[in-house]
Amino acid sequence: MPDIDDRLRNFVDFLGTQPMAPDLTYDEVAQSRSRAELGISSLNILILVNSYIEEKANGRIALRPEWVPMLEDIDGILSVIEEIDASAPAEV
Amino acid sequence: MAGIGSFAYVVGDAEGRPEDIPGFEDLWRAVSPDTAFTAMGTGTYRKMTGPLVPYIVDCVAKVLSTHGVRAAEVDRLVLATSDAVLGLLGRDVAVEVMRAAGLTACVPAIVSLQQCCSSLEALRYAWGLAGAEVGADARNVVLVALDFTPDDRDRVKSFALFGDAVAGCLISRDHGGLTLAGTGLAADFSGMVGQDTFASRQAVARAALDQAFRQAGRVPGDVTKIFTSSLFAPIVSFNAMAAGQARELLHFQGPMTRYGHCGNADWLINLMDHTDKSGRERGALYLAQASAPGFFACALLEAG
Repeated sequence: MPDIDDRLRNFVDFLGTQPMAPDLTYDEVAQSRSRAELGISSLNILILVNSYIEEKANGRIALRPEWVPMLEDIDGILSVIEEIDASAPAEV
Repeated sequence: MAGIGSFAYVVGDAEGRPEDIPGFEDLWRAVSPDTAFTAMGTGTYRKMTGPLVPYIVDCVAKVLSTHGVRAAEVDRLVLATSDAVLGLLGRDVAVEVMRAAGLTACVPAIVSLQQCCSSLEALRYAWGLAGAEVGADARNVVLVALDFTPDDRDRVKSFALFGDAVAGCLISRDHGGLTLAGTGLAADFSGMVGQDTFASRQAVARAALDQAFRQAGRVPGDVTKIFTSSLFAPIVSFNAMAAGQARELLHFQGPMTRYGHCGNADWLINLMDHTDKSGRERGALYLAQASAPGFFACALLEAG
């Protein structure tokens, strides 16, 4: 499992590439617990996760029902992203 | 055994584009800050330019014409609409429709207060009127789902762009069609008051779907196609993920791009759009479903 700092850094770096994501620093994300604290709406987190799958796995990963409740807090979002990374086809 | 068929729909006669709505960019920014509208997947919507009743009458005429059912042979008329539109209907709307459509021998009713899920509950009710339940004595029941938005500025929401449409079908003992195998309806009060979460939205969907599959004695893997609410593409993806549904089974994108979200008429329009393009597969199991803040409803329809 990647170090939490690596997971967080990966997430913040990805946010920086997304036009609908707020401009956040590593410290701001590290000190937040919930998606709402980051100022990311429930609609935008859906778009962000979809975009992450498109970018990292070429859209070839299906969203999983067990990820749904995890998208409310930062730890959960980081875990979802980690699972997407782990599931991404090697050739992508 | 009754059958559900003779589907028909009538959309608003004028085509509009979201960007032509006065103050669209500000309206979109207010409901979905920092989100690009282009990611939502909506192209145009339809708008009714005249009174509602003629659109309903037109839809009823199309439903009856499929099998040549005479208006006087209709026992029941079931209207369904979402909460906001309920308040816009005049108290004589049923009489006006019955007079104009010639439905002079039927009993009218309206089903509402379940947002865009209203028409699926109306389907269950209509099926009961013509089906095998105690007291069921209707031979021909016309179901009509209707929704419209008079002020264009009210069309813009964070989960959908609203369009105007009327859609209907005939539930008849005299004519074949789809069979209603199971239905589900669940509510989430936190959603009704705008305090729902990912988890609560998932729970309400699962509760309704479990009801329907249990009643039908079927499993999600049996479903051939899913006709869902025509919400923005990311929302539909989320709803599918939450319910464990494969995205490729969903049919909504084409009608949503052309007509927007037509409230509780969506699943009917999407079913018709699919049937028009692909025909009806013998032995298919269709899942019609609708989601709205605080509600999730579904119906399993078996093709003979």
